[in-house]
Amino acid sequence: MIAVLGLVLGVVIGLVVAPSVPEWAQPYLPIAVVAALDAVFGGLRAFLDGIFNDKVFVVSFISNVLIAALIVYLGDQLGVGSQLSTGVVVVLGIRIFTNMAAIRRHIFRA
Amino acid sequence: MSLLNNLMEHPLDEGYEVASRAAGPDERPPSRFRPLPTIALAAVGFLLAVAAVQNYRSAPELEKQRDQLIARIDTADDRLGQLRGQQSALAREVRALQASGLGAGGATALQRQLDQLELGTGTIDTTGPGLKIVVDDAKDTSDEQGKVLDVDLQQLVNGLWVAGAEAISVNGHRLTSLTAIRGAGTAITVDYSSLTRPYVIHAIGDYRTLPARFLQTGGGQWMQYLASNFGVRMTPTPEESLLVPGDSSISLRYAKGVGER
Repeated sequence: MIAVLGLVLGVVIGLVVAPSVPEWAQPYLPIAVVAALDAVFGGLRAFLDGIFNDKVFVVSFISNVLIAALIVYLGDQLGVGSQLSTGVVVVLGIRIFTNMAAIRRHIFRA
Repeated sequence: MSLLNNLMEHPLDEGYEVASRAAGPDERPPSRFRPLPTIALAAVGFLLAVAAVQNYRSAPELEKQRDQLIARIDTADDRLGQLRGQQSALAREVRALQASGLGAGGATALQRQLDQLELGTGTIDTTGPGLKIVVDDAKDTSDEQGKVLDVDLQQLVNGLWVAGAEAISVNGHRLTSLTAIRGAGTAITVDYSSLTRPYVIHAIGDYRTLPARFLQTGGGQWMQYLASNFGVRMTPTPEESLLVPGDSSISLRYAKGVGER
């Protein structure tokens, strides 16, 4: 419950502060968001499975965001940035959907 | 496909399973306040909000850039018009000075010859009877075929020359030996200025014979065909007095008369 409050707090802070994202970070922001969402849904599923672990969640969150941004950065340097972004979004999207399906099964038993 | 299958079957970070196995099945962490996930979730929320705000901000930014570009084009256009006007004024002044100089020297024959040449080349305003033609796209703007193209104006102007026109202007741009009518993007440019419809063509000539002779030319028939098949609008009206402005910017830099040094 407190964790959800943390999420709300983060959104509020983001909306109130509304920092302008520096030019160089703009291409990585959407990818970082998708990676963060993946970590969140993974954590939620683990919580419902009863195997949630703080450390794993935080580490997976940070590493997901960093690696996603790093892959896109590398892709940009190699000239295949948009393709790699697509790849990252596809992989994370599949994971989010599958985790969501598991969460749905937990909550609705369907 | 095994990669995708693997992805579908193990969407969860393996760390969770490993950690729970290490902790043992019966030693689930008790439900208590967990600061780390809260902070991490706060970070997620922050990221989401920032991304959304960023997206929201950059949309009007694009619109603003577009508006700025349009404004810049408009100012450049204004400046072009201004400079053209200035040039015409200066040319008029030059002509006046020339006339006074030549007149004082008693070279009236030379002055008359100059006048004749200027009239013919189209560097000075010309007036006389003639034909005014207004051409416009078809009323049904969705029909691409009803749009007036550069070729259509070229054909029309050629028809007018054939019919005996002596001076022609399109939307106030005098057609000289250096004037091009061409398409640039979706606009027709005459003398390197983009035109907006409707297109008003002034042609000086015998206003009694010009309309009929124009319709017999290839250009006239071309326009008739467009008018009757694609709805392009064309209204010719004979006028007793038309003004065809001059194009004072005409100047030859490389061409020289044969035998001239």
